[in-house]
Amino acid sequence: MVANGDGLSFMQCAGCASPPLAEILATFEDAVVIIHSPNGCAASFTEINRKYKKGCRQRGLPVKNARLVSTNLTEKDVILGIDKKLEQAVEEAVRRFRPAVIFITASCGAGVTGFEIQTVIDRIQLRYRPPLIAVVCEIYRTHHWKTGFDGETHSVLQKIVKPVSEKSEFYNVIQFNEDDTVRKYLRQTGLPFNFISQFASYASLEKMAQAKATFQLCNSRFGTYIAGRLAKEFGVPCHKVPLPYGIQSTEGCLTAIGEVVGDENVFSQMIQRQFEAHQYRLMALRKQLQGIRCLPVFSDKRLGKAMQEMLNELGVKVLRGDTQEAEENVSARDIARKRARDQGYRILRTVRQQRPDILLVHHYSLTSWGARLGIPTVWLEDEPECTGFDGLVAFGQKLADAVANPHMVRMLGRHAALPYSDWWMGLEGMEEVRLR
Amino acid sequence: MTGAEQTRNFCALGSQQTVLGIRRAVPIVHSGSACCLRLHQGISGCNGYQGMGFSGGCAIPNDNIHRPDFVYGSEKKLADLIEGTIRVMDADLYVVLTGCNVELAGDDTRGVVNSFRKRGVPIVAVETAGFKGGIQYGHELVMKAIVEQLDLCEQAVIDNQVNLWMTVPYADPFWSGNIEKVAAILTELGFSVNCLFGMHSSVNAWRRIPAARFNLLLAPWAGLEIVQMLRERFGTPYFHYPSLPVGAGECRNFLLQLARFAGLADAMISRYISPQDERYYYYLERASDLLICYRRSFPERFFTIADVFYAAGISKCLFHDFGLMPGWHYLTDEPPGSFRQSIRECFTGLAGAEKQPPVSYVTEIEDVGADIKKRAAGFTPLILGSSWEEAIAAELRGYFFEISAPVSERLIMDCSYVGYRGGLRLAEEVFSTMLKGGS
Repeated sequence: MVANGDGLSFMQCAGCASPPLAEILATFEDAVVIIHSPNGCAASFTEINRKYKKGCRQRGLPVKNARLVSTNLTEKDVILGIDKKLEQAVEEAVRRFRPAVIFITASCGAGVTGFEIQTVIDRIQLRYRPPLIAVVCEIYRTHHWKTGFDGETHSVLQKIVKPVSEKSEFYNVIQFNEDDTVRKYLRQTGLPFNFISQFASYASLEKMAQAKATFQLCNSRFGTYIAGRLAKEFGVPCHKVPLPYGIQSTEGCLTAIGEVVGDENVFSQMIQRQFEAHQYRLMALRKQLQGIRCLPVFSDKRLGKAMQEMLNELGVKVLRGDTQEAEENVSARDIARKRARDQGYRILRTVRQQRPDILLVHHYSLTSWGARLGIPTVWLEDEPECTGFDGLVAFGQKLADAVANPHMVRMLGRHAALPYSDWWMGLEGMEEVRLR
Repeated sequence: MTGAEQTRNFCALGSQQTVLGIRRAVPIVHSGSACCLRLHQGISGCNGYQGMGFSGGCAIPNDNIHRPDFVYGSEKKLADLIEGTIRVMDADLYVVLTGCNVELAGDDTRGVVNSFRKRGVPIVAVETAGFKGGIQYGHELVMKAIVEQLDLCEQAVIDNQVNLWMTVPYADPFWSGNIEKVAAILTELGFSVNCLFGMHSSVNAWRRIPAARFNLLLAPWAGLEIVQMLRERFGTPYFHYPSLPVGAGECRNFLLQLARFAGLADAMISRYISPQDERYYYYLERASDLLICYRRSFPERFFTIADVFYAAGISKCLFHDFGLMPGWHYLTDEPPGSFRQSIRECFTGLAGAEKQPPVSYVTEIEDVGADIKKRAAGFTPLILGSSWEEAIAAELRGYFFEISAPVSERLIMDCSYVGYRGGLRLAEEVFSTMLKGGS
């Protein structure tokens, strides 16, 4: 959650894992998310609600607002004490929404600590039936500065999941992005899957511990956290499957699931069917994309690697940026340093030096800056929605189209102004700004 | 009651967007991680997709302060960030804004910034901790800080120069188009408009502030402190108009009052108004079949959920110019108590306002949706509000159109409802929504 850029003299604003997590939590059936902070921190609620409403529409549900509450801390509260505001917010949330569970988050920018939240929860939990669950980084003594979920001592799952002695016949499938392709494949098999996804019912969360196994199809840290805790605390084995991006990984993912559920034939036939259905378009796309120089910029290593393999399968020439450094098994301080290095002002220069035919961005600090240099760019706002065979073809088409129609970005490049100094943009290599 | 489950006013640090409203000005944010991105998302991204501007969004210089700095102080870190920023980012003005955690820690931000200003760096500091107030409050603080710390000195008054002050950049999703439209009207009346925000703004425009003949504030209340300060300091008078001049009726009101204030001849205003009126009513006449058409499904009452500026301006236009009937107005801003009486007066003359203005403040209501439901009983409602109101419009099988922050399902570039053309544009959009059918 923290970008501690000690020693670095220039930084740009860093992201935080809390809003994307609140986005998932807010979609759970009958869940309320409270943010214990001044109203500015709740600015991310606007995006959470937009996606929530979109999710309602996609599922044919009536459009409703996500159940979000801000404690709206003011100067008076900061002086007189903030706990009362949280108690009031919980009381109000219970009265108005009758929730099954209340998640309470905060923002470190507001200076509210997880300890403060947990203290209030411990004091008032007995008054309420729905579990009150703090979702804040530091309370968990996290090793990853931006996860907030890999700690040992908290109770996110214990308060929701019902422990069982006997296993049922179903399998958990965790996927928190909105890409439904592989879930559709799995539904075709007719096997009993318990989908842990956005808009999951409370019942499907409660029964997770009864599952025979868990498969995770997305790269979300929250998903990894759930799968890990289910394995450790409830004995539900988690089978690692490849992220289903591209032919090989989709095949690998489905085959692995088929093996675990003991229905290899059904799965291999499905793979064959899907492959044949898309083969013709795939060949045409490969021809179109051959020799296209693509620079992928990913903030996440695993996702970046999966997408790179997919790009190889599409026949594009993948350029290496310097942004795909390993970030696993390094200290929080090193990650903070890497974050600081991996910022827009630095990546943008790499992009300009490489000048790819197409720039593929899944990085919060780059977004449209590459397009402002006149480079055809595809920005993946969330976890890429291009899994499975259908996703591969649709995504390949998007790349081909972006290269085939560069007119908008070319003109944009001629007119857009960059805020960076000539000195900075003129430097060679990958220097950071470090004045001391 | 928290009264705040639906964010509309963000926080004082949201005024990073005020800085971004000035061309070639860069905010330097001394705050915790993610403050900037959250605020960008709420005020710009999810509010008409207004983008990052010159150096907003992920490009904002930010020291991402966290716990250790919070305990031990972070002035050194800020000094380093400023040093880096002035080398890496090429700007005409740097504005340092502070977030909650550094203000709680008691950092001497102004001291750090002053040392840079002494070196000749164009830089100012503002304390904008989020817990102090909403974005309008922060907006006013930023404007005052720039005027105070740029060391403006008295200048010879340029007779036709007007400084144009309007609503909060980005938080008002139509701010940019509004400025262009108002400036165009004023230019046609012979004024030389000094735009402090938007497409034609610059840091030099801020330096020319003392040369104005008068300050024009087109905003409900945020900005009054700055124009009053300028009157005291440079003797510049100001003209304040608190609601959006949209449509023929309201635009005429605005122009006549402005003319009276600025001593313009009636004939001059008439020369502007007459052809505009003619054009306006040419189109209105053509639309009159639809405007008077009775269809059982058309909305019977309209409800606005917006700040005073939009709620008052749009209501007056739809009521006076297009014959629609207002239901209730929910004001989303949080004006200080001293302004509340004059704000109520903005709604006089509207149907239902004979005894008491049909107005409530969102912050004083627990659930806006439930309140609309109660007041719309027996009517098909047209709800002109923010992204938060789509759900209640759907529930009541009413009509819905986004006009106030957060606007999450419209792309807004230069759209503006200012003036005569703005009135027609509003009618086009409102009646198109009606023609498409309700939720």
